[in-house]
Amino acid sequence: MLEKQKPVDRRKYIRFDTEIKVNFQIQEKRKESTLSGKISGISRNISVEGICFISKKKLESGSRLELEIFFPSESKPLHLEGEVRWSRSLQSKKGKAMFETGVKLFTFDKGDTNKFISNILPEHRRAEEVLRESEKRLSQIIQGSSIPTFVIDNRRLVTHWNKACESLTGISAKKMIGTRKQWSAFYSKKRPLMTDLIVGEASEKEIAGYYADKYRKSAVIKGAYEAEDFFLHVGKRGKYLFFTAAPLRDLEGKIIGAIETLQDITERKRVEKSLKEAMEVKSQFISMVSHELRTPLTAIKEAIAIVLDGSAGEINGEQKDFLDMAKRNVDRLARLIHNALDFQKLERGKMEFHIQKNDINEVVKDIWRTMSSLAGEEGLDFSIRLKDKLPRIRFDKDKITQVLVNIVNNAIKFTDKGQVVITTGRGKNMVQVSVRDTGPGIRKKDLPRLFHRFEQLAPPRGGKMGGTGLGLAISKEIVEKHRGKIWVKSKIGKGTTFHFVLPIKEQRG
Amino acid sequence: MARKILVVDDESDIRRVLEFRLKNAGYDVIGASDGESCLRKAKEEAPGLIILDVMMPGINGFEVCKLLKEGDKTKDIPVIMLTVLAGEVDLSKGLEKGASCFISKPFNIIDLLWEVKTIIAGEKKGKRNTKSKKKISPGRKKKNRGGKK
Repeated sequence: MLEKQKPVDRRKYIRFDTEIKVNFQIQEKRKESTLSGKISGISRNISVEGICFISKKKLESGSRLELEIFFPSESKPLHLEGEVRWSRSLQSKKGKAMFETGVKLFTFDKGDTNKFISNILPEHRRAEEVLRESEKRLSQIIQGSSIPTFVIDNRRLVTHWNKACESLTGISAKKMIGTRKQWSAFYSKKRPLMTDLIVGEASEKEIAGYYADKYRKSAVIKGAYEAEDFFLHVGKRGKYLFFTAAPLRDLEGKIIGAIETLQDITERKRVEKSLKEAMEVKSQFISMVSHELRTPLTAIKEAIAIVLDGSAGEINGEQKDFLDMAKRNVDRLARLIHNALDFQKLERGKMEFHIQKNDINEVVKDIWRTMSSLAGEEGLDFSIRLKDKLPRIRFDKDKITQVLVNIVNNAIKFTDKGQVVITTGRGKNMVQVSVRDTGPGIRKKDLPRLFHRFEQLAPPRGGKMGGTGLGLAISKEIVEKHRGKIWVKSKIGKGTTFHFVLPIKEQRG
Repeated sequence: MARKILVVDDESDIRRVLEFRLKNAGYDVIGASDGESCLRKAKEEAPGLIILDVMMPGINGFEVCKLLKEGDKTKDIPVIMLTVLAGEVDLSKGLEKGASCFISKPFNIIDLLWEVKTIIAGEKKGKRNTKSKKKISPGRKKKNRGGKK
């Protein structure tokens, strides 16, 4: 047999351990001495297909056969040699000869055929069936998905158009499959879809030409693109669609088609739009109300002040007391309106920041100078401890001053006796400011609420109220806009310390 | 002449309290309730200073300020702008139109009088827009007066 005939060293071979029985049909070409034809058959659950060449003369039992056999799952032909064990000739009608042949096959090591055969053997699967099965399964997956999906092949013909896609576009799979009319589901004029561009291996420039700034590369799938657009011709009134198109590749990486999934985001867009409008209306309302309030407030405030300071004639002690009360409350109202507007601006990102290189120690010194008298009136010891040679960092001096004033104000307001100390320090890549007081402290359960807007904690032991509940919320926003952090530590009966840090590098928020 | 101040605001109550304060501080005060009468009175009366509200029906304060600065007779009159729009609009635009400073409503009368005094004094020396003192207190923040951007 062949083992004996071809004992060449490097030619390893693998032997099918049983015969492959092949039924083959040979188209007889009379003038040629060689018959060629297609063969196909199954042995040991391996399906083979191929072309064979047989010399007419040798077509008898025992003659050698040269076969080129294709395994369906592999495009490379496998060169096999075998031996005709027996043959039978059947005369057919149109000059076709039918042979039934048993061949014992050997394969010689050409490239990785060796590996290939041994891969197949243990599987004992009918490759063709496996393939058909997997194709069917793929179809079912696409069909069964509730996400509108279609697939095109490398000739841009539609191969899949699932139920969800039918109901989204209103066009049946029947009308689509096997055609290149996929564009008509989305546009009124013919133009390529994202899948077509991918199959055509379009350049980034071409894609941008069709989708402008509405598309981007998928972050998840290599070679895929996603886009969002409004399609006037989809549905009754048009639809916003979000779609992702990804290439389908063969084992060698060649593009053999593309798949596109679509998402109807019309409703989301509508909700987003009305939410945005509602936010805008709310902002405008707050803005308008605050402005409208300021004008009468200005008149009230001045009118009270004029009477109170005696400019309009003398007043008695009791009158003065009540006017003081009125003034205090007008001032409080003014602060509330101011803070509400500030917070509104911060929330809408409309607050302007004037970021410049500044020295935090200078800010602290300024505050110490302006607020010492207030602390003195309350009988508190107000001091500062500054770290030498802090780097100048970029921040909005007015805004950071506002934060510190707010914290120090609170400290002074809530501390009955003892001290308020501002310290500055340097941490890793940041500058830290801390304000420590010897006040009543804040209960642990209240700490998380502290920076929420409109939160005011119950005053300790009948202490003073009168803030707006926005001061710390604003402070937090301001510090965070500087990419800093603000936090608080407190112990009941011992006092409270507010800390905030500002980064040394890279400021703009 | 230089101690005459024109107060322009469509709210008569605001005009009234400002008038009272300014008269008390020793200034002569005339009032105007809109942009047009402001422009007319500025020409006729040649005040030493104009305190001008921004939000007014008809021509708004910014426009009035611009027109004042374009008028031959009025271009040298310093203008203090009063606004409830603190921080809402780009105030530097107003400063470009020639205002000396901005004061937000509700104002602090001490700040306002101090500005008035400085500007009028500066006017006598031929200077304008002297650097103002720094005041820090919550809810009473004066807005940037240019040069901060």
